[in-house]
Amino acid sequence: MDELLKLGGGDKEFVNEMIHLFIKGANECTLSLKIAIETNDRKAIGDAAHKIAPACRHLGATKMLELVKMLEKQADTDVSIAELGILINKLENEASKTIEEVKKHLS
Amino acid sequence: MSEKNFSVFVVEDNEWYNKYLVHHLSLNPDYEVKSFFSGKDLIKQLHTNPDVVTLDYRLPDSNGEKLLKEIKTVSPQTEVIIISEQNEIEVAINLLKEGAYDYMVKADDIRDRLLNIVQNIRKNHSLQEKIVHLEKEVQKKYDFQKTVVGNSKGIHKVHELIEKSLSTSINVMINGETGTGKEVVAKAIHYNSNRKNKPFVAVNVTALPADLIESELFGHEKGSFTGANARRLGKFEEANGGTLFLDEIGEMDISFQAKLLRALQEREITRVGSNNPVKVDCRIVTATNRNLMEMVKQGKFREDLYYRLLGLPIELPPLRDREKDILILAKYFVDEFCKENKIPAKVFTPDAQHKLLSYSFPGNIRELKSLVELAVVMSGPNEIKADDISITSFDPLPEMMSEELTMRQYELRILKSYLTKYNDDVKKVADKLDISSATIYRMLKE
Repeated sequence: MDELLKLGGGDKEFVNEMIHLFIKGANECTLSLKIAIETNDRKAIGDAAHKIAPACRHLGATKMLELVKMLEKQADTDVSIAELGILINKLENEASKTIEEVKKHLS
Repeated sequence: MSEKNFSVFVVEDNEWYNKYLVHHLSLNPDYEVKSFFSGKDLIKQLHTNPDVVTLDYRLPDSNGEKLLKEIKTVSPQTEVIIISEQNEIEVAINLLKEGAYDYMVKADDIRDRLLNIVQNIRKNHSLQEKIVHLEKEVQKKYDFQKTVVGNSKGIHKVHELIEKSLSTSINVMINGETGTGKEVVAKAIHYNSNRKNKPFVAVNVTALPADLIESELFGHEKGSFTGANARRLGKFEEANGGTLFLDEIGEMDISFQAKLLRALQEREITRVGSNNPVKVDCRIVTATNRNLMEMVKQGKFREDLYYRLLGLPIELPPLRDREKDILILAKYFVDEFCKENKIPAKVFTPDAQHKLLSYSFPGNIRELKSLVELAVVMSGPNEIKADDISITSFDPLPEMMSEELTMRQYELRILKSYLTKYNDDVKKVADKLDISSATIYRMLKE
């Protein structure tokens, strides 16, 4: 979590706030993705993925970022909803792992 | 300079990213950072004219292009930095053409790059403010009521004429003895006219070698003569849109006067070595201590050029004809000199004032200024006494009385002395000596 420390520049309060916002954002993202897949809303899938990408990048959550970027790209193609669903599941799992990881850095 | 905080609006619907940008920008205590999550909220606050807006290209209620146009319409001075997830060159180019200051991709290093760009914008703003401030200072400096100092009838007339010259671009010809303030008047005209934001270019004709005058005034092309290693713009082009001040116009070689006349008539110049004329738009202000009309009669100055340059003539009276103004000017110079050198102000004693009023100041205002400044330096605190004023006159008349001469010889000496003093202006000398011009010509012939 070097990225987290770099992010805050030593400001623990700021880092805590950003971690909380990330967790909130990641949870909102996975919820939005679940609803979007059920309603077949490819645009909503792309939007939800787009929204969480910056946080993933700056927190150094590279695996999650990869999945998010792939999802955003594929939502805009004719890849089947079922395949998007598989990608969303992978993202959900990765998001949970990342959330557990960042929680350790809350002070 | 403005002490106002530098205002930055961050427009980003992503809560995490919004917080990230706001936090890092707020670390600079000089920035006043406000956060917005939608285009609608931003528009409500645009009337406050923020210095910078960082704008997410993809907002839920609007897009980057639309918002950029809106910002530039409501607050044209605001600089907009577009921030996007996508690295799309065409989009970036279009946005920059529409007036965006920069386009940034949300990459790892965005924090540092954004901080650098905002800092650069701030520096530019500060420089702009400085320029505006300096321009105002220059204008204040050339407020002619304050720079063309005096209360005599002659100077009030000069003020009136300066005022009349301001509303148009009529050429002005300033006539006056050396040291009467011709360049001060020329600058006062320029910096109070609608050309004040364009250049004021001063040229002393006597300082231009005859073989280089054309190149100096009209410019030259590369290779047009030995030593012309690059194209060079002449004074006319430098002064384009503004004012060209030709001092000592009476000294201009008659062979060049025809070219100058053509340039003034056609409002275009041709650089030395070029075949292509260049349009120029300058107001021409000339100055001379010679009697140009007399020079026209003597065939030393072209009549057509004289009338082309004449425009609005302004006659600057010599200081000895502005007796009322000698003490006003002396006080002005004392105050300015003391202020510049951070010393307490001084006043003239009655004896010192009397000494100043008794002197004819052949060097006019320039001489008065020089004399006064020396007196300030030589004097004690608070007062300038008569002994502090050191008058060195080059007036040859007193020297003459040490020799024994015939009346005719005295008369001739006096006549020659006056002719030298008034630059061979026979009519003026005739007025001063209360004799006719014919008498002067006769005496010189003898």
